[in-house]
Amino acid sequence: MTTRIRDAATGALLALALLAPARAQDPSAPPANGTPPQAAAQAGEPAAPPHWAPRYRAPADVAAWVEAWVATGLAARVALPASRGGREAPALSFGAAGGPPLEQRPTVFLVGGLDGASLAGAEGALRAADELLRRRDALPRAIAFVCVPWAAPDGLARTLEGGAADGRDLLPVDDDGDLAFDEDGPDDVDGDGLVLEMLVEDPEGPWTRGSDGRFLVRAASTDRLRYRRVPEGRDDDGDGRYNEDPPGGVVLDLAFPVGWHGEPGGLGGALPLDDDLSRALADLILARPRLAVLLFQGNHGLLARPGGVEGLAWSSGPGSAADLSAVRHFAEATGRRQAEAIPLHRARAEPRPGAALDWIHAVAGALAAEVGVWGPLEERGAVRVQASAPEALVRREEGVEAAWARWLDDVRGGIGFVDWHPVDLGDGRSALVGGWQPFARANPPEECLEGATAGLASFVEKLAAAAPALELRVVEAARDGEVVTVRARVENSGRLATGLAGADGARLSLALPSGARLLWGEVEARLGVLEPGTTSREVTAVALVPPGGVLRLVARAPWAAPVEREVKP
Amino acid sequence: MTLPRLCLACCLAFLSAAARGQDPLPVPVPAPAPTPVPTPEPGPDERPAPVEEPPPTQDPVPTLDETPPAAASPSPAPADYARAWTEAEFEQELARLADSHASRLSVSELGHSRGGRRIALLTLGDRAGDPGRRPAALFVTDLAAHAADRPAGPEAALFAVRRLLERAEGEARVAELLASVTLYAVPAPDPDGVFAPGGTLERTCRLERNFPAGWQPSDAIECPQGPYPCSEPETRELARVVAQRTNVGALALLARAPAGLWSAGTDSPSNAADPVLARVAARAGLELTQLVRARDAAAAAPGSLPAFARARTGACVLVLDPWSAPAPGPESAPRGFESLPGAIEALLGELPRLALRSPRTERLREKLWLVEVDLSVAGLLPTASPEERGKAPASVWLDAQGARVLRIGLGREGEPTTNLDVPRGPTWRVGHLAGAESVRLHLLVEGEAGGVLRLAFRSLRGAVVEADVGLSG
Repeated sequence: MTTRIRDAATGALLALALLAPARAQDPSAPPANGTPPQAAAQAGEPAAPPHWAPRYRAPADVAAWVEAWVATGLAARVALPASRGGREAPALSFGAAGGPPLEQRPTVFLVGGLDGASLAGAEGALRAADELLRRRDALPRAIAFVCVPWAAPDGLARTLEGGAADGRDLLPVDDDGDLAFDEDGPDDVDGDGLVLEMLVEDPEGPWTRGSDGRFLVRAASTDRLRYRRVPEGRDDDGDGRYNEDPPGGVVLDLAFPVGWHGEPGGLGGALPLDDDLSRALADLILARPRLAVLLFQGNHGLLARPGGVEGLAWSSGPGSAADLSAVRHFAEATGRRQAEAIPLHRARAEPRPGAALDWIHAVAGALAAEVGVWGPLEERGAVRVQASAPEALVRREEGVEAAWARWLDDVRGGIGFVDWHPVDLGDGRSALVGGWQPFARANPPEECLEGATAGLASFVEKLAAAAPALELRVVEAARDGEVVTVRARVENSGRLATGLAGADGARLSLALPSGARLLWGEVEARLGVLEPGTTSREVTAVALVPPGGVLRLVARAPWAAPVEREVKP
Repeated sequence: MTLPRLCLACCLAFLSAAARGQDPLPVPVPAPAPTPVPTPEPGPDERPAPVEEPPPTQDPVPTLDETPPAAASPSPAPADYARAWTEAEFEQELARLADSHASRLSVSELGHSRGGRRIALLTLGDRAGDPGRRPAALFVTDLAAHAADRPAGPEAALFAVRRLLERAEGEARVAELLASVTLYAVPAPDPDGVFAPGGTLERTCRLERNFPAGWQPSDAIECPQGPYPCSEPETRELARVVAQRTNVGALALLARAPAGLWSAGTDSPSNAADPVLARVAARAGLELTQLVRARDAAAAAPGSLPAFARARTGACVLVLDPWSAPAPGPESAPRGFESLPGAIEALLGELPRLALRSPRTERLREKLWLVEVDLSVAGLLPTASPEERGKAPASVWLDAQGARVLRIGLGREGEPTTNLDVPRGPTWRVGHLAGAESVRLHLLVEGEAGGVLRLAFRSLRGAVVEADVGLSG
């Protein structure tokens, strides 16, 4: 609670301080034609905002941060609609000066807290973008970056205010199918100022208490004392169930159509992408050439690849070469080593139907990853055991719990967890209330933000630098009278493939000048996915071309900037 | 003493008429139109310019069956429904209908098309109450290409709507039906495609495959289903009606049937015994086998509106092809149009309305009463589909006020009476009721003699029935 008050106060002051110069320069005016802003701000122009500092920003702070960067002329505003709760989702784009317009460059998207709960993810995205902007001229010129640090503002705002950290937005939903909306939500039953978890005895409950009585494990058939696990609260609507129809509705991160199912009480909404904000985010990703979409969220501390539920084609197996490459860059930049690219449902230790990551992978065709900013091993002082530890964590639920227990006891001295204690629910019913406090497990204590977000900008930069780079190799461009022969190949000199396997691959197109006639060969050649360091098959065309005619070759690929070359044989 | 607060006789009269197999929907014979509006047949890519007509005359309201002299009224003649209407004509007819039938029709905006055109939503039902709190059907023109890559126009749906409204003016049975149910009609769900086919914005999908049913990423790449379900505003708004208006229990779609579907055959689909479609077929003079085939074909198409409605709410789906039978003469509406009002009315008649028989009261002790209530569903459709039953424990609730209800026993035919769970508040979960099912509720009530127990049953489909039960005797 103290943290929240301090944040709000400093946030308001910072917002005022940052907004003042922004207003002076009319930040609403975007750079002409979306071209990248020119080099460093000149004297007299607004200065960059203060360096990122480890604290949780309020929505006004995030908006002010975007305003300030836009006002410098070094970033362009990206317009997104407001959330269902009417909150802004500030966003900006940027890139090195001198390249093509930002909208035409392969883009790396940095999306913070789309799950509505991960404030640390929001800070991670914001810090990464902030640091990249400060070293903008060192960024690859062919790549653009788009940052949406507070992508689910309703859920994040509730989490920041200490409310239910379930990530839902403010859409009223009849979760329990009784034609009443949001009538049975969590309450502070024991009056301690916190809304935690509640264990209700149930012979068929799926949970029981583990050997460490604080933590729960899946009940075995032999367990006699079993529980249902619900948010702390009374049975407000008197239907015998607890908190089954809480305020709010949809987790934007789970509202995407792959693996989605619209169940009452589910978090994906009645229809996929049914709110303006998540739909605009999807459309934004589709509208630009997309290299990678990084979702900064989750408390597993890993880099997770697509695979929100088992059974998807990409949920099993080792992951693609691009996934593994991303894992390597992540380890180099953050020191978080993991031997494999772990699918989302394993990293989260729970299914994630309708996860944005799966849609981004399957439909947008981008390199997609969830960056788990916070985790049990991410605080300085935590014992980061051998390199395989993260994988061990996700193999067994008990492993995750054990890691959090070690963090709680060894690093935090037990502070951050309220022991289970009985409460009276009325009508002779009772339950146990307790669990993790806010800003412990779901999001780190504020003082841990520095370590949790360190190296993320470097990771993004490494990933961008590894982007595929197309080079046109003209093997032959010969003229014999009016007969012109062109032979060409395309080489990928980058360190990532030109796209996802099985998706649309690289292409080479040949534009003939007016008056020319193709005799045989290809003018639109599909070359498939080009792995790093490989060269495509040879593409040949023979045409009748009037003297002086110029042929134009263009190579394109989903993750690479197009290259163009004129040939005058 | 009991004080029913619903006109039960009306519902019973309707049900008894239906049970006797009477055909309440005689096929009207269009009267010859003395001076029909000139209606040159437009080519597939041409639409006539908006017809400049005088302001509508409201009194008297001409009906399709008694087409007045053209000069006296701007009402379309039957033959006018055979041609493609302009946007102005469509809007003009909507305004005329809304003015002429203000007590039973409201025209609102469902949303806007990608091109910014209004998507009109017609709500048919007695406006004295809340149409959103009555069982409802959704009546939509298909989004698929109908001719020359354009979707079907709104003429068939408007013909049916107009006929229904006119019948309600003259037939008490139809008027009572529209007092107990609601019909949401969307005659032109793709107004860009219908009214501005040349200027339609490029789509990333086929609209009729853009609903969230069976959507697959590979389909998104191959185009027909779009980059995500409901990526288009037209499909999004229709899907919201199905997903969010829980009173909608049936879908009637006007769609061109696949080639061969309507051909006569001796084979019967396995589920041709669908009782609702059977009743619709009987009343509207349609072939049951064809209705079942059309429904199954539409519901099997990935991403279709019928597939979505079936998967989401288990809605009863009726697919009608009014264009399969041409007009019998130059002054008539297409023959297929004439069967639409009857089919829609029959479908509305099977929506699950709740009905109560006069409760009986017995005094057990000084302040202890036994109240017996017979609750039934009028209509063959259930209060919740099998899909919905798996998701919620009840689709019928009872709110009891005025006295304390201690226990409720629920008796179903052929089954022992069971106890309902005792709620902490005044709302009891009655459970789910099948179509045309009748149950008996035994209420153990604590209350003072002379008091009144106010009972209000409500259902997921929006039906509400109330009764005041006097504690006396």
